[in-house]
Amino acid sequence: MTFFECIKMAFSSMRMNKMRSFLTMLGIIIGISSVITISSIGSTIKKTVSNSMFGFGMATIDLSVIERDYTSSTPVKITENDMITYEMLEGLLEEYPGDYELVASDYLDTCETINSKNEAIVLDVMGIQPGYMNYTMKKMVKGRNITARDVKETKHTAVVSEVFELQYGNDESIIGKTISLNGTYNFEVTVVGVYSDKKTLQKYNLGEKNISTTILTPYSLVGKLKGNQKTKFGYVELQPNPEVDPGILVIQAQQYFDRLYERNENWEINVFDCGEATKSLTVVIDILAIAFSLIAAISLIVGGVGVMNIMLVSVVERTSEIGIRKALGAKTKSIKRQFVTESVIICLIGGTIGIIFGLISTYALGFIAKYMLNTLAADVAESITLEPTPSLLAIIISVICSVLIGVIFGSSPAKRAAKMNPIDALRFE
Amino acid sequence: MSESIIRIDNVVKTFNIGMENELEILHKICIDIKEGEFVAIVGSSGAGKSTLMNIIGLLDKPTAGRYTLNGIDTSNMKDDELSEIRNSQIGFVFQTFNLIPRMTALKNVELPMMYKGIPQKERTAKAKKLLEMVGMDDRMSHQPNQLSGGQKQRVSIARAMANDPAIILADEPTGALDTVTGRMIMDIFHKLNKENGKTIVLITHSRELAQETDRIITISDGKIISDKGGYEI
Ligand SMILES: Nc1ncnc2c1ncn2[C@@H]1O[C@H](COP(=O)(O)OP(=O)(O)O)[C@@H](O)[C@H]1O
Ligand SMILES: [Mg+2]
Repeated sequence: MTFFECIKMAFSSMRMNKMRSFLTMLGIIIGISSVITISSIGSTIKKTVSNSMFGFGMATIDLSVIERDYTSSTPVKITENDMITYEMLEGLLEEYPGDYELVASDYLDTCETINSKNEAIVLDVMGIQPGYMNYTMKKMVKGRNITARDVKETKHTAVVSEVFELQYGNDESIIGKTISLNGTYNFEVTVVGVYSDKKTLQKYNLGEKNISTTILTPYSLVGKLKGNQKTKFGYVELQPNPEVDPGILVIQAQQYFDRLYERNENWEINVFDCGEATKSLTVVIDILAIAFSLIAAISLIVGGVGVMNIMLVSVVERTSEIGIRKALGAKTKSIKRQFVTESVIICLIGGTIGIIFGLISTYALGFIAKYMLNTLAADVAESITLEPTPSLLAIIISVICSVLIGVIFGSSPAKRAAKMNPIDALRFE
Repeated sequence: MSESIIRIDNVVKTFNIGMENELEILHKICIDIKEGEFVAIVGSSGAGKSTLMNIIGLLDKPTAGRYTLNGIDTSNMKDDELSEIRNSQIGFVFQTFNLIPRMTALKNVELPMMYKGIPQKERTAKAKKLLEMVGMDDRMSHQPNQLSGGQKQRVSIARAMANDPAIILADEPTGALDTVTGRMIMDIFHKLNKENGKTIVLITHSRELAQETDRIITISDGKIISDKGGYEI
């Protein structure tokens, strides 16, 4: 009896009892689909979390001045000379161009400006470093960001919000326009870019026309205006280039500062990768997903026992058929193969349907989660990318599991059928 | 005189050995059947005819004694060896037909050939020819429950002939049929015996049908009480 004949025979005997075959599959369907759904929820959460963590600036590389011998009993007082200077940071950025961005920001004041219709608009002025945009997850919609050069040369450039662009009310593009800001400080800036700000835009569109938004200018410009240009730091956050391995970025920075602090007896710089912490969180999510999938896998065992139960019933029910087959010359092997094939096919079909249901429910849950996120937490929804991510590994494992369940739980009933004495089987009523 | 094909030597069959209801059904039976014989076994119900037939058909093993088939002692054969011999050398016809339900007549006839490992094309052709021989070529794709008793029995004769066995064992093949269809079945057996040279062992209740054969063996209470006709005459 060939393999193909076994399969044909299995299908014909499944057709004989469609309802029962389906009910047998149901256990497997439920088991597999819950494993797929749960593992997919796990990988979706993991991806969403790591996306938003990196986006929220959790993946910064932090520099801090620390005492070399922090166990010493006589504390050393930190002096101005031990602090990180602005020049040191510029040196790092120049030595490794594109690898790091500064994220510092400095609030100046509230200013007023006049729009094209001669109306006063209130703005909050903030001095920023280029990395500030990524750090706060602000996206540019037009023009360009504040660059390192803007900061270095203390340029009078500015990035404004979408709302301000509307408030300004010019038919032409706001980019390139020079606006004068008045208040405690009086100065002019040229708009080079517009950033998106959905939340205030929503409020604006709902009629809150006088809402005030933030105008972003080079960090150094605010320092110059305040007259207290901040140049010494005890703690600095850097935005790493996401394309580069953060491990390398940490080592580079550490080596750079070790060189600079070589002759400092008491203090050194500690470089810390915050993204590493994010990674360990995703590991925790992984472990949880695996644990829950295993719990779901228990239902697979229950499904397997169901298959075994039905196969046993089927063997008893088909005793006389087995007797006839044996009388006609079927060997132990052929009978065994027939019943194992049948249970494997039931499990495989159940497994396939389970995978399909699992995928459907993964995407359905993703859709519901997205909807809830948008309605319940609209302000953060923009910054979270929730993409249902079915776990391919779980699908592959499910297929293998289905086959294994079929073999494991089908072989004992099959053995029972194969061992039957032909005459006892024929006499069975 | 031709070769002895079935040789039953002091065969005893006891059921439920070691239990309270232990019962010896066949007592030291001796039978010798030559190739090409048409033998009828008669006897009252419960005499042990089917038990004997099951031993001849290698479906059951004797408790004691020796059974030699085609000159080969079958006592120490393994189950799979017995399956192989049943498959290629013995054709069974049962009173209750024993066709596999929900499988077409054609597929039922193909079954012994499938277990022998004959390729699909070849066995379909052979099965069609056999069904034609028993006059069932117009009902090949019918399932057993769509056939009458006589038709079912004809299908099962075709199935018994599938691997061209030397021996046909028929346990009351006409028992569930009316006289007319029973007659038709008997004619097929005669034809198989005369034209194809098959050795046929037929269990029957009917004295009349038994008279048509070469030899009549009468069994009563697990013993042979008469064995006449055939080559002895
Ligand atoms: N497997 C068995 N276990 C116990 N008793 C059996 C078994 N098979 C047959 N018998 C008994 O053997 C006797 C002969 O049965 P059987 O050979 O079927 O008779 P028949 O001549 O009517 O075909 C009966 O009394 C029957 O009950
Ligand atoms: Mg009987």
